[in-house]
Amino acid sequence: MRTLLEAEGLARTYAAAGGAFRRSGRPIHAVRNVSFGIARGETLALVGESGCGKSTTARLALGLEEPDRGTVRFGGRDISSLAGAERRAFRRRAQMVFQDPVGSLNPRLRVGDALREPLRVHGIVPREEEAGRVAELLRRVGLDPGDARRYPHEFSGGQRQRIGIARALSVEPDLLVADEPVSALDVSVQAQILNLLAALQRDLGLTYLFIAHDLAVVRHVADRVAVMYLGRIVETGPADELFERPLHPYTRALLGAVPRPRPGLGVRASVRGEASAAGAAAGCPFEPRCRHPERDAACRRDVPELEEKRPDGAARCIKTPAWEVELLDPGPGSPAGTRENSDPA
Amino acid sequence: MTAPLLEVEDLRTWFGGASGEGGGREARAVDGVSFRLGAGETLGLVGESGCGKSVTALSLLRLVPEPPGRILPGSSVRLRGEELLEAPPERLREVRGGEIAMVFQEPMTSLNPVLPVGRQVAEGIRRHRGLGAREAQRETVRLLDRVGITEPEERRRAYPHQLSGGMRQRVMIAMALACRPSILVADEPTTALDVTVQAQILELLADLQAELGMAILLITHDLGIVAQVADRVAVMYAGRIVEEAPVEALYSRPLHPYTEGLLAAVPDPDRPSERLAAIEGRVPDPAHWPEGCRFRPRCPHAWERCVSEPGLLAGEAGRRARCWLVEEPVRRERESET
Repeated sequence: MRTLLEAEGLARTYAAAGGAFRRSGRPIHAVRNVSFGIARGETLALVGESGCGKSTTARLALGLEEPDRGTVRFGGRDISSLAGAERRAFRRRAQMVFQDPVGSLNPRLRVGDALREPLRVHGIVPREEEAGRVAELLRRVGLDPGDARRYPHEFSGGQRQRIGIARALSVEPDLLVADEPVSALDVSVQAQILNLLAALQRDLGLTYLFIAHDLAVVRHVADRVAVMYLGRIVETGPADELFERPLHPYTRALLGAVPRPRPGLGVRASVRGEASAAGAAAGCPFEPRCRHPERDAACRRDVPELEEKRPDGAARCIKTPAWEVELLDPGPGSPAGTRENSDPA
Repeated sequence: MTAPLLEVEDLRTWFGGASGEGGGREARAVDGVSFRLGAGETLGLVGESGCGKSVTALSLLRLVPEPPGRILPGSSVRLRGEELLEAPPERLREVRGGEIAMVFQEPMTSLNPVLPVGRQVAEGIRRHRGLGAREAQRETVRLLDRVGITEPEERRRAYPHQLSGGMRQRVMIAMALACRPSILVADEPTTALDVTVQAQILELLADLQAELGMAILLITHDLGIVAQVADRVAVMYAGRIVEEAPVEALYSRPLHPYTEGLLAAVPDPDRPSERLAAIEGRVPDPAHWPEGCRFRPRCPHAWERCVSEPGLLAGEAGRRARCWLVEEPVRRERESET
């Protein structure tokens, strides 16, 4: 069984907050028809700007929230069908790492006790081995076994994230869902945590679902990437291909907007306006901001399907030619060099 | 020789201490910062959290709450030669939002939630430029349009919460520009924004600078933004500037080991690498800066000499770094060979 986690057609709608002075607004489609799979030992990054639905998708994948439609399969089993011991096993095998580990740590609990708790709940080791396991976990994440006696507030942001990771690891999971795990950290500490996550994946064979808005970080950690926009996946593919040859105009805009840490390139707005669910009533949700040269009335008619545009690369855009597929089978009069594939910068 | 536009010398802003909170040690948040800002130039003040960059910005206009903060005697902030730290309150009010304007990370905290945004922009125009109500309103619409707010005639009636984060930041910029400042201090102006909106705001700031010729002091933690926006960069660590250089020089050949470590830790979206170079350890606590060179406990190059802290030593071509390696560059080369 290669695929560990599989999502199919996930949808989640929230009732709009009416507010005291407003009539109830339109429902918010946080996640619309989202499908993806993650192979064992692999990292899939869900990227997108605020409100794109990436965090809701993570919560659905972990079963922390019920989807309105769609299924999540873990190890081939529909997680909504799990009960009793099987449900508990899923809860153990799929763990979450949060942006702000402080919020998930009890401030009055010593770190050692915080780590011991999940060991006990899931019966990971006999009581007499707990202390040894806690020490091992702390060492594993780069902390000192003596830190078990200290309280969360005594640690720096980076160390607290290490504790959050240790807690997730304590129950020997297969999958870590990490929601913006480094976005609150300074860059020098961020690098420490990213290196730690990479080492853990290598040593323990972990599978990661990595939620992030920072594309430079995503490039660094991801094997595969799914780009989300207003609740939908608009492009997906292997990280290298997606970054080097983005298919969807939004992916291009997103990549183009990242200020590179090399002087002389300048900053140019790669796209106008802001994502707004109110914008496009019909058609492609990105159309109002799209800069694709061939954008036309057809884009405003239907929501594009997520289509295979090259082997292992799909995009939700009717104007993006399936160019690599053509490359493999060059028909008459379709020279390979004329494709629209502008530089993201 | 004419005085530089802005000259900061030996600025020290400390917090708490014996008379303050907890009777503990004073937090020496800004501890001897000196730099100059020339007309029309962009200086990037960069560093990680707690390095003192934001307190430096606030100190320029004496916006640090006192107590618990205090700017120490001997500190100096001169605007065209005029000492601001000793200026009377009415003069300071004139300078704030007049010659020196500020834009912060979260516009929500600087905007009045119960007033339409247009009124807030107009108020500044009337106060600093002495225009009548009608003229101020016309100028407001022009400014809102200039900062990229569509339908400014309608939008000026909106309340802050009715606008997106990007739009609110545009309003803040309009307010800052209302008095045609010669210096814009921008403290993490895009940190709360999505990356595509951030690019729009940075582009707007660059356009406005070219048009109005103002100098920008850009405070940020983002080394990508600094690389694209700044002419010169000052890197802060533990309350001090540890390196200052023209932007290309800093990125191509950092002199201070902290700068070097910081640059190596930044992931580049175009160049994935197996492993990022992390700086080991953590940023020290402002109440207990390390003795000697403050970066010494984390520095891969540290040696005996670092027990005493160097000043900002002059390197080539207008560069300065607070590191003995400037005087003994051979040491670095020797280490990299082994």
